[in-house]
This record gives sequence, structure tokens and C-alpha cells, in this order.
Amino acid sequence: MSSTITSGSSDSGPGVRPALRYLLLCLFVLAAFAASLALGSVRLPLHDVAALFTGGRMQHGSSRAILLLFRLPKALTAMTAGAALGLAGLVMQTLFRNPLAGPFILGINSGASLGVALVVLASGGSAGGVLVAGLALSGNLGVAAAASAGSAAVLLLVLAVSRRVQSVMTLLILGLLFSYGVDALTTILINFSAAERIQTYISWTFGSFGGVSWPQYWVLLAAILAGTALTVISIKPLNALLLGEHYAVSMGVSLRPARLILILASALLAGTVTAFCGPIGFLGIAMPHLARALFRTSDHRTLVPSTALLGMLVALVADLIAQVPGSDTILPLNAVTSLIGAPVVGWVILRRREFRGAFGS
Amino acid sequence: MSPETIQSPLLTARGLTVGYHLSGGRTRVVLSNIEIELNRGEVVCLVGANGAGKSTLLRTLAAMQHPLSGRVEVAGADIALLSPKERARVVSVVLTDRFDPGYITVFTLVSLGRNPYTNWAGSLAQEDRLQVDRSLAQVGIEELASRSLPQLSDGERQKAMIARALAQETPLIILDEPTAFLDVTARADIMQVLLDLSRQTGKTVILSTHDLEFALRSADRMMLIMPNGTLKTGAPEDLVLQGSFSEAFRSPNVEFDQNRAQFVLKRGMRGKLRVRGEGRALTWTVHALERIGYTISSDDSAAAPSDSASAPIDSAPPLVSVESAGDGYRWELAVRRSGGPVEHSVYDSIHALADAIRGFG
Amino acid sequence: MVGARAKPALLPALFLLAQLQLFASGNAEQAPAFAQDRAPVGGGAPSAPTARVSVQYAKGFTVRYFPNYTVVTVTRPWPGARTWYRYVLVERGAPVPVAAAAAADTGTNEPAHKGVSIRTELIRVPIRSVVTMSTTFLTPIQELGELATLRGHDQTRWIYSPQVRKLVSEGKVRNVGNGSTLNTELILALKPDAMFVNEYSGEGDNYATVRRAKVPVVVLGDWDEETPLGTAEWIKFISLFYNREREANSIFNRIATEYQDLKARAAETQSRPTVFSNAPYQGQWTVPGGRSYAAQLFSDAGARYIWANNDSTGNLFLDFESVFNRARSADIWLNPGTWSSLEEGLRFDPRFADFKAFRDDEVFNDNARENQFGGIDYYESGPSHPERVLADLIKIFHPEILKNHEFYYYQRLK
Repeated sequence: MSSTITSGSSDSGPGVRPALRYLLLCLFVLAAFAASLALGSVRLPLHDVAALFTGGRMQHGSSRAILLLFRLPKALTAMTAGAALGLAGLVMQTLFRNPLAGPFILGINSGASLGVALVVLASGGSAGGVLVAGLALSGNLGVAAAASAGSAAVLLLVLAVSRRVQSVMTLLILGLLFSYGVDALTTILINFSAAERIQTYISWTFGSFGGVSWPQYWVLLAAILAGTALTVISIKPLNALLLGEHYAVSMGVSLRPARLILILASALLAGTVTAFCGPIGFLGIAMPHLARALFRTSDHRTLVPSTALLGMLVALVADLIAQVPGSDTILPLNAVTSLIGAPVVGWVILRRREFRGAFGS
Repeated sequence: MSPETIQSPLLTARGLTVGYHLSGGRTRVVLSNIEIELNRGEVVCLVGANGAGKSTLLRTLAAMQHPLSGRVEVAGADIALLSPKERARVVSVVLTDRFDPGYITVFTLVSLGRNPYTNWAGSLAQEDRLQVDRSLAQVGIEELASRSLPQLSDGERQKAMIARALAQETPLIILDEPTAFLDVTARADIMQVLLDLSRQTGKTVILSTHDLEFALRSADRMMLIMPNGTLKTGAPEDLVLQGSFSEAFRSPNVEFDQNRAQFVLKRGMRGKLRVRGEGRALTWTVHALERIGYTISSDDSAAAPSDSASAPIDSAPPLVSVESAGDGYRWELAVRRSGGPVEHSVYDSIHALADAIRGFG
Repeated sequence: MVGARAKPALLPALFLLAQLQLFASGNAEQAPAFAQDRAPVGGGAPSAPTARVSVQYAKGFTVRYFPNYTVVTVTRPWPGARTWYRYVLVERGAPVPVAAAAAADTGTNEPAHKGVSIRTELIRVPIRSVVTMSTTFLTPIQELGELATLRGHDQTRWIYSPQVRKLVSEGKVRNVGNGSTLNTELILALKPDAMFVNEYSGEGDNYATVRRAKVPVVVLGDWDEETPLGTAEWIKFISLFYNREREANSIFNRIATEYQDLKARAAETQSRPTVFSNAPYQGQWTVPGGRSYAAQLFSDAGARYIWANNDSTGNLFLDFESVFNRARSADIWLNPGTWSSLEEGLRFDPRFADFKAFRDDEVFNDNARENQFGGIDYYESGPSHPERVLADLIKIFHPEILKNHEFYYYQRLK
């Protein structure tokens, strides 16, 4: 009996070594980050952008303010949100063994939308016509709070149901049904609302990284770090779940706690992003596929960091595009992520033959 | 391997009833009042008609399903009371679940079996790696270690799954129809692997199979599901001699021939024949004639019907003689038509012979 | 403008003309010399036009007078409209003049414009009952003394006017819509003589069912006017349906005169404080264009609008960053959305503190008059009273001029 020690735990196929790929990915992320700082509606001299880090004097009077107050938090938000959505999507795809699963598959998104709709559309209150009133916290923080409350409510519902449900497929279907039901409630609210409020609500649904100020960013970051931590400790059960729930259990995974942690992680990650940035589609579904294709593996030890990095990169790029640098207009972020995301997923899935078998298609 | 010294049994089941809980508080009993006692190092085959409850029983033994009553003890512990992790160190499974984990290497797949032993991150220690290598070698797939799963054939995949179960280092391995979707060569291959590994590692292997020949040939013990929902266990020969086989597989069209340990179709008997010949030619000629539906009297010392008037008329069945001729064989058929002379005809293939004999009516 | 000041003198002249008209037509029923002497035909409205209106500021409608009927055409129901709405107004109880019927049928009394389709309808005036779809109509109707004709309104909770609210609570004015859907059954049950609506595009006919039930739907383009006085002048349009032209002329003349006065006084000041408006949401900041309604108010009030160079008469969709870049040192910040206090604003976004106007407490919002549901008077009576808005703005930009004026619509945020 020979005992050949074969290639260790790396799963990459032939070609560029994974370490190099990570490096390239990081470089791209840095480049996108720099571009986010340098480009925007207002033309800033590049010198000023560099001066932000070197501490030099700025030429343009507003540069420092614009960079520190607007571009830096926006870029950081994009990176944080992109990573969060990618990870949430990854977790959902593995948990439900479904390549079309995304962070919002359990209706968390719908819950957040309902929360925001309640606050934006239905409040009559004291503070004036269009936006939030009647909450102790008003304004953006109020919207974020409402969105979080909405997500949490749906999450609790989902968790309560998941305790009684054996099959994860049932959970998926129930999650979809929650989405529809909650969306219906939101539609009813829209039906009874004034035009300006509907406009506001619709603006929210476009998604944006730019509405997050520094104090809000720290809250966002904390939640995302928590969600990421939960994801990281789930790498082992996630890998076991690649073989399906029966095998995972047979290899020692405690299914109920594992599911709970994964759902919680996804809710924290996706729910918080939705609360602060509005519902941003497609990143969650597309990034895990992109990571799988680029690193040629389904091993979560690789997928978790690579999906996070890719999420950062694509979110930054999407935001740049939505900014339409040089002009004063901005595009809805959601439209850009979908326009980027859809062809990417299509390309990835169609191009890789062996990949097509990856989900038993 | 030296004969096992008397040890306590590895798996015992007492008063075990397996089945399902249906909605409305009803239960469906599949098998009742089962008593099982299996020792270490045994290869145990579970056979029974389709739908008789093999999978249900195996799942219950593997603690993937609760028994309706009774308990299962493995290595002295009630498996229903163990935590998933403890259970995973005691029993591993290979199921019929179809899954597609995507792009992972065989090494990674097999190393998943180390889940009960690795730390929270799933990293492999030296010992873990050794175990994985050993398992790969045991099953004979060392050179496939760095191949990715989609590239394997069905047989190779199954071997990888067995290696994974091996890597889990459990005294008991349960396999549900491990050769179900494999072609003939792969099937034989897998069965051999299982036999070898049990002999070499002293693990108890329980597998369900439709391959009766293999079971009769190789199993240390068989578990036979009877039509009345009970289980008979014992050495294969014991079960044959007790008539349990015949009883288990009773069917209008087929019966179990206890002498030859085979199933034979109960075709209408066409008549009797005598056959004369030697060795292989004899064996296969008899095989063909029985297949057509003739009973063979193996008395080959009887004289061919002769033309002598003293021979009893009509009493001797036709005689088929086979002998070598050139590169092949030659068959001669001697038939006495009623009241007529003996007719001799010669054929150069069993096919021709059979056609002729069938033509008799 | 000259016209505004000359209006009062014109009035009697128009009056006389109207009476001559009536005599000339030879209609026996129109014999009495003065319209007010006639017995009112329901609603108390005069049964014949009480004066003639002429349109000076508004670009969205035209009026043509004919013997025994009047034709009013809405030429700009929405921006870039290729559809005109024409209403042929004939007195109730009078026979329909042949020419009027013809006008109602074919719309050919005016040279047809290329590519424009004209939808014509014959309406009997004065109307005795009306359903309104915008609060901007309520002020003219009330000031013309015809509040009793109001039967229904869309989303009544946004109404500010206390008198109208009283009618709503008494059930005399019903709620006929909830924002996106119309309670057509209720409207048909109310059987109004007309419905006053705004349309925003030619796509789809929101009032098809109502029209099919033969309820006249009158489309007003008051919201699409580019000048404050143009918008206010639509009181004349509404007055045509009630034979209250005299009141309308009188009211509007007052408004126009006062507006011009104020504007002249503001023009005399030396300083021009810089001003910007609205607030960002989710990173996007929509501001009025350089030639928009709001921009004109700012300039008429003697301020310098940050985007005065812009050509747009509509809105500009900018992002927070751009606005910040240009407006961070501006003097005054107007209409920042829904806040009632600076602290509330900070909770929206702490970055507002980086605007000079915010730091200097020079933030003013138009929500001083607000009902408990969030309905704001600025949007209800404001369009009809640009002189009040202008006074408020001048007080904001040049507090030294209008010392005695109290804010009407605006409040300083603290």
C-alpha cells in the first residue's frame, strides 16, 4: 500500500496559482477604490486625491470635504456592502443547493421593503409631508431602522418555520411565499399613497451607496463584520453541506444549529445592507458564481474570501458606472448591478462545460 | 487475517420496529420486531425485494431516522442518544443521494470525512492527511486525488465516496445500494473493494444489494427481509438451507433453486433430455437446454437409443452429445420418434441445436 | 407689466362689451341688463358671463368669445403636449347655438395646428357641482364663492383649508380617490357637472370610465405654467365655468399688482444673497432648473439662484456631491424636505452641517402651515397666491424691507 501524499487542499485547476489570483484580485479592488475616490460628478484634481493620503495641501477648496464626506464613505460602503451581499448569496446557494438562490431568497428583502414602505408611505405624522415622521429617529436612520425591523420580522418568521420544517426545500418555497405575501402588502400601501411619497419609495428601491454618512457606516460595518464572522465559522459545515444534508449529518454536522447560524448570517449581511443602501440586486447571486469560475472550486475555504473580494470589486465598479463620472446625472444603482450581473452569470455558466454539471443541470 | 476472537458485538438491535410517522398520528410500519447482532469485521448484506424496506432499515441503523420502537446500539452506545459528532465517529454512510458538489477535488471530498476530527475551521492535521491518503489507497484511487469531481466516472465517484466514509474512521460503514447505478465491471470492482476493506481494516460493512450471487459468495452474514415484514439473519448458507430464500423471493414466475443458489424462471417444462459430454461444453449445453425448459437427467452412461430391437421403445429421452471438433464443438442429437427409427442430426452451434429442439414441440 | 396695472380700468369696459354681446345675440332669455339681476341658476352662480377675461401671463390656455358661447382651450396640459383640450361653454337652459355645436363637434373654430389633436367637449355653465383632483383648485373655487359646488376631492386628508375640511367632516365633500386609484363608482354616484383634473402625460386615459359616463372632465394645465403669475391666472379659467369672471379679474388684478410691487421693491435692493433648495435622498439631489417656476420666484425676490445659468424649466437631477460643491457656501437654504428643525435635518444626514446656510441658521421651510396629516398649505393656496410667496421670500432674502410682514407659508428652522 503506497501512501502517496498528493496535492494538498488546494483545488485550483491548471493555470494561474491561487495565491497569484488573490493578489490580482486585491490589486483590482485597490484600483477600483482609488478610482472611486478620484472620479465623481465633481471634477477633482488627482493631486488632491493623493493629497488626502499624503497630507498635502489641496488645490480645490471643496476637495477635502468632498473626499472625506462623500467619496470615502461611499467607496467604503460599496466595498462593505458588496462583500456582504456576495457572502450572503454564497451561503444561501449552498444551504439551498440552488444556483439561483440569492441573499433575498428568504424574503428578507421584502421585509425590509415593507418596513420602509410603512414608514415612507403610511406615516401621516407631524414632521411634514414627504418623508419619515412619527418615529423617534427620523430621516435616513429612521428608514434604516424600519428596514432592519422589517427584515428582522421576516427573519423571525422564517426561523420559527424552519424549526418545524425538515426539508430545506420546503424552507425555500416558504421563503419565496413570504416574499410574495409581503410584497403584496407593500403594493397595497403604495396604492394608498400620494405621488410624492411613492416617488420617494421608488427612489429607495433604486439602491444607493451614497446615502450612508460616517456614523451610519460604523453601524453597517459592525453588522457586516458580525455576519462575516458567522459565515467564517460556518465554512466547515458549508463544505459538508456540499454533499447534501444527509451526508452532512452523517459526518457530524448538527443541522439545526448550522442552518440557524447560516440564516442568521445571511440576514445580518443582506438585511443590514438593504437597510442602509436599499435593495441591491444581483450581486448576491452573481458573485459566488464568478468566484467559483475564477478559482475553479466549490470549496468554501476559497470561496468565502474570494467571493468577498469579488463583491467589493464589482460593487465599486457598479457604483462608478452609476455615477456616470464627469456628468451630473446618476443612474439607479440597481439597474447597473443587474446589467453587469446578468451577462456575467450567463457567460460564466455557458462557458464552462464542466461547470454546467456543477449543479446537476 | 486471524480469526476474530470472541468480542462483544459491534451492533445490536433489539425489538426494533422501523417505519414512518404519517400525518394525523398514524404510523406506517415497514419492518417489525427486528433482532440483529453483528460482530466486528463482518460483511453483512441486506437483501429483499424492492420496496420491502431496505433503505428504511439502513437509515434507522445509521440513526438518520428514528425507529418506531426499540433501539440500536453500536459499540455499546445507543446511537439515538449520541450527538451528531459522536455518532459520526461511530458510523459512516454511503447513500444513493444524487448530489453535485461542483468543482472540488477527490482529495477534498475524501477529506470531508475527517469532519468529526478536525477543528472548527476544518483544517487537516498531519494525522488527518495520513488518514485521507490511506483511504484513497485502500480504495485504489490514489492517482485520482487531484482530479475534480465532475471529471470522474460513476464508478470512480462511488469509490471516492467510499474512501470518504473510510476516512471517517468508523467501526461501522453502512452503504445503501452502493452499486445501484454502476455498470457490470464497476459493480464487481466496488464489491471487491468493500470486501477487501472489511478484511483489511476489521470494519463492519453493511450493504444492501440486489446482487444475490455476490451476497451468497462473499457475505459473512445476510439479513433477509421477509414478505411478512420480519427480518431473518444468519450465514447465507443457513438462510438457504432453512428455505428462507425461497420464502423471501417467492413469485409466480421465478423460484430459487436451492441446489444451485440461483433463481430460475419457472417456465413450463417441455420434457426431458439426456446429455453426454465433458467439462465446459457439458456445463453450458446443460445450461442452454435448461434455459429452453428441459429437465436434464445427468445419467450420461445411458446408452444412446440403438437400433437394437431389445431397447425399450420410447423410454429413453433424446440424447444430446457434445464433443470437440476442430476449433469448436459439435452437437449430435439422437431422437427416437415414436415407433420410428432413431434420428441423428448434427449441429455446429448451440443456437442451431436449440432451434432444432424447439422445433420438436 | 402694463396690463396688470390697467386691469381695473378694463373691467367696466369688458363688462359693457359683455352686455352688448348679450343684446346682440337676440336671445330672449338674456334680456336683463345685468347678470346679477337674474335669478341664480343653482349654486348661486350668475347665469351669464359677468365679464370677459383676457389672458396675460398664463401660456397654457386661451379664451375666445363668440355670440352665446365661449371657447376655452387648454394648450399645455403637460410639457410637450400634442393634445389640446377644448371646452365649449354654453349657458345652462339656453339652446345650443349651431356654431357652438359645430365647434364642439369638429373643433374647427380655430386654425388647427399641425400634429396637435384637439379634444373638444361642450359643457353647460355655470356648473353646480364639481369634483376636484388637486388641492390647487380649491383656493380659486373658494375665493370665487363657489365652495358650495364642491362635492368630492381626491385624497381629502391632504386638504389644508379649514373651510373645506369642515365640509369634508360634514360629509358634504367626499373622498373620491386614494392616490393611485379612483373611486369611479362614487364619482358617478355624485354625478358632478364637471371634474377638474391635472393630467401628466398623454399616455393612457385615467378618466376613461368617468368620461364614458358622460361626466365632463376638465383638464387644467396650471401646474405646467412657467411663471408664478401664469399659474395664479388660472383662477380666470376656473371662473369661466361659474360665470364668475368679474370676481376672478378683480382677485387676479390684486395679486398681480401686489406681485409686481414687491418685485420692484426687491429689485431696488443692493445685495443678492445666494440660495439653493430641496434636499438629497439616497445620494440624489433634485433641484429646480434655472428657468423653472421656483427659480423665477428666487430671482423676483432679489436672490441669486445657484443654478440661475441653467436653461431647464424643469428639474435637475444631481448628486449630493455636485450640489455640495456648488452650494456649500450659499447663504440661504430653502425647502429642505420634511424637517421641522435643524436637529431633525442632522439626523437625516450629518453632512448638512457642512453647508454655510445650515451653520448660520439660514434654513427656511415651506411647511409653516401644515395640517395634521401632512397636507401643506404652500402647495394648496401657494400657487394661487404668488404674491404671498414672494413676500415671504423677500422677507427671507431682504429682511430689512418687509419689516411688518409675518411669514405666511415659510418658517425659519431652528
